[in-house]
Amino acid sequence: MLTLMRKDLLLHKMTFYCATPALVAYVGWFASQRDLRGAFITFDCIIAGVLPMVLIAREDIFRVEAFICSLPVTRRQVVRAKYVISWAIALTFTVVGLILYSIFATERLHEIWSVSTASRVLVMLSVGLGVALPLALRFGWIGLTVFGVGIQILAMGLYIIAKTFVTRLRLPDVFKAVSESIEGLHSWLGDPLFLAAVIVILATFNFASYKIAVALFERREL
Amino acid sequence: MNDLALQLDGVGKTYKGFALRNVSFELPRDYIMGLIGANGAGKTTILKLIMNLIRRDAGRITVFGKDNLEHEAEIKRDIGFVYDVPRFYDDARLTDIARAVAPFYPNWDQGCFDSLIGEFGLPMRKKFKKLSAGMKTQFALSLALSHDADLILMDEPTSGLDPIVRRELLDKLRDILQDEQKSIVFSTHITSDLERVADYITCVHEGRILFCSPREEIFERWGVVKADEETLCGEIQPLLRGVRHGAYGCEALTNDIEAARALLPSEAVVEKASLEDIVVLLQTEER
Repeated sequence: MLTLMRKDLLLHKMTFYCATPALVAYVGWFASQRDLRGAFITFDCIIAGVLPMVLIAREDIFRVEAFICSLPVTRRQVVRAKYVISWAIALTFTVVGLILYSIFATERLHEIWSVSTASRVLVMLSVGLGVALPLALRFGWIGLTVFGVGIQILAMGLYIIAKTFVTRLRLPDVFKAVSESIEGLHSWLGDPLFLAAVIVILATFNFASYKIAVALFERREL
Repeated sequence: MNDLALQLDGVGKTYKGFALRNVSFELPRDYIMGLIGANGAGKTTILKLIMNLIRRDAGRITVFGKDNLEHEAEIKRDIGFVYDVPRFYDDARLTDIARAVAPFYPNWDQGCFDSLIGEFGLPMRKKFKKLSAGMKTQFALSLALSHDADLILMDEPTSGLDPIVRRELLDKLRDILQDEQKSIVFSTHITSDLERVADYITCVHEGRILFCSPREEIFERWGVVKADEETLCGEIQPLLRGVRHGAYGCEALTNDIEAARALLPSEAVVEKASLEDIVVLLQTEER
């Protein structure tokens, strides 16, 4: 698995060279926008989560999957390496983004470095990678496009349904209620237990995603 | 030690509009097998099935006595694979690709790789996408031959190359084959390439194995019958395949040259078939 990860780092190094200054510029811009401070973590996770998808999409565009699978590895090992390296890249870029943000924007740093932020980051990366990786590994960049477009259509559909049919249900209230429930659970469990619970739930979700990705990738014809 | 490098037993694969059926053949160790057949006959599908790049629907494939699915990684360590169109990371430099590939193989021989790269004159600092088609194949071949693989699989390595590069590549291959004991499966529709190097020829036709025999046996058994249409429609007809009608008569293929000679009148001509004759006339039969 380490050999596969090393291969990815070596052969995608240009992508990292391009992504790093882009991340710095992006964080710098965000830090200068006081009004958008609350959205920074979300966008940081999105940027960091997209990067591993770019690597998989590049492999699909270069059509190198057959080359990868002709190396002395099993498909299960290929998927495992992709999950590990995707998580490593996404977490690294998220944390680097947070560190840069802390340097650029010196106010309210306690809000950035907290269990709540850690939970938000883990949830967003888990959902993003957990859903996108099986699609990307099975269907390549088309799978990623379907994922991106699908999420937007789903969100718009839910918004329209909520607006049109559920007149008494206000979306902001729903989000607020969910957020308050989570916060309540957080204060009831305390920081360590809450984070542990989040990690266990997300690990289970990611394990299921990995199993699905293996099953899909093993069926992929190259 | 298993004496067979490769064994396919009843292998099948079905696509929409094409099916590979009941493919069975064996390749002893240290021999070279040529896979011939028209485009779309199933040659690439067979090689992909051996490499487990596609899932087989039926049968069993063993490489050096081991099932290619159960021992996938282990088997691939002993295989060097060259694609018809080599595909690596387009924007990566050759030196990075080699550095990424080498650790996968415990028997990687950097000296051998450097020597091949030197012989082919490949610019290692260049990006893969900047190489010509011939250079891409030469690079793929260098990678495939540098980890002491016991079985080399090559899918039309000479297709798309100009005659000069093709000849250079074949000469290089022949040198390697003469010096080292390796089992090779070499698919091509340029049959003249095989007539020089292959010990065994396997002909794939419409997803089936038409024959898998030693090269000499094929040239002894297969022939081209040239006669008028009336003669070829006579009692010899069951022995014929792929009849082609021309301005000055007809020609057809037979896989029993002696029997055909015995049945034909003296004015009819029976010549030994070349591999190209076999592929071309079978293609005629298909149409």
